[in-house]
Amino acid sequence: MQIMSNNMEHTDILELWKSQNAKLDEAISINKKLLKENLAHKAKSALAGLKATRRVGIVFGVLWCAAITFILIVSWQHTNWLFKSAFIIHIVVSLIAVGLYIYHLVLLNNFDNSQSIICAQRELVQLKFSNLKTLGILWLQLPVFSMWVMTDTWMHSSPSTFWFIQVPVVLVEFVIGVWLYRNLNYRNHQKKWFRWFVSKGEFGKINKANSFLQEIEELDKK
Amino acid sequence: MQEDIFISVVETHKGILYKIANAYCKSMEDREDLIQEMIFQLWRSFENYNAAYQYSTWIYRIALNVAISFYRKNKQSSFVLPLEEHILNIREPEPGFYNNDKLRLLNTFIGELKDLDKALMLLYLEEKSYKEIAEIIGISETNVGTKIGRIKQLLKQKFNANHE
Repeated sequence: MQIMSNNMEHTDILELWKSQNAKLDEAISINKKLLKENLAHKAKSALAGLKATRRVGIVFGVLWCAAITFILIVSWQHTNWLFKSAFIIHIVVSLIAVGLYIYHLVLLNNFDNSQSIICAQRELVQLKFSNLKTLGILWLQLPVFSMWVMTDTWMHSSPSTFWFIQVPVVLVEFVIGVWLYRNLNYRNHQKKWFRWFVSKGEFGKINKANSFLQEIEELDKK
Repeated sequence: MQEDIFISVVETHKGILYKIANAYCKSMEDREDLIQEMIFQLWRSFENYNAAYQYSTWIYRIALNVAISFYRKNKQSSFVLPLEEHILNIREPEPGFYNNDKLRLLNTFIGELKDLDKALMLLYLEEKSYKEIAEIIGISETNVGTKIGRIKQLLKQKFNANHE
């Protein structure tokens, strides 16, 4: 069948597609046995994977916070204000992260992929960026891990290492934590440093979400 | 019973799944994963299927949503046909069918489009009305018309540039 001349017209493209359609339906066959196996939940769903990581994160986060709170309460009389502050900050930040994971789980459970593509993809993009925000919040607690080793005994027995090494380390970690919290944002996804802080897979997903968001935004401008 | 109805719906619309997977995935392995994921998501949504929509509209919405959010593991050359048994198996309809240069080019050009443009073009090529495309994508009919006009022009230019 001569479908077109060398210069393609719109109708030629449609004809070409139709010529493929006509033959594809005959050429494609379904492996019903494999399909039934898939229906029996053998298929690995991308969203199921996301839900599983959130559930594990929530359970681990709650148990972790409970354990840390227990240690804080038990040791309250014997610890200094730096130790107490470090633990309280760590518990608060961890609880915020657990809260965000619960929010992600609610979004995932309510997600309906039979809604229009723009609506569904907006929700997924929102979820991916919120995941990045959670990572930023977790980095906020960076100085905490250096704070709880700072004791009054150390301050008095070796003031030079305490004030000139440990305190600057905590301050630098504080600056890094705040900077990452502010900058771990999809708008910076093209920057080299960004790749260091997210896994390769996560980076790919953020890139993809970002490019789709740009497509949606272009549509909104029209 | 429910499973049999579902299999029959997938059987009737298997071409949609194949064409979407072909447009959104370059490697054979990714294509197979995507088809599995699309079928799984269709099955999960089947009990909530709204009879106000045609099966094809429902399938397009879900399959395109899955395809757009599907993260490709690797990027290999396009239009390679599966050789092993998979959920969807394809044999060559007639000798040389897949060596048709223009068909291969059309599939390659569609594969190069942005995700949303790809969805629009697939729906346009399937001769869906602008109203139906607007419902599936979630944009206005005017927007559909403008976007499709631009994509058609782009495809035409690519074809013609390839022949020069």
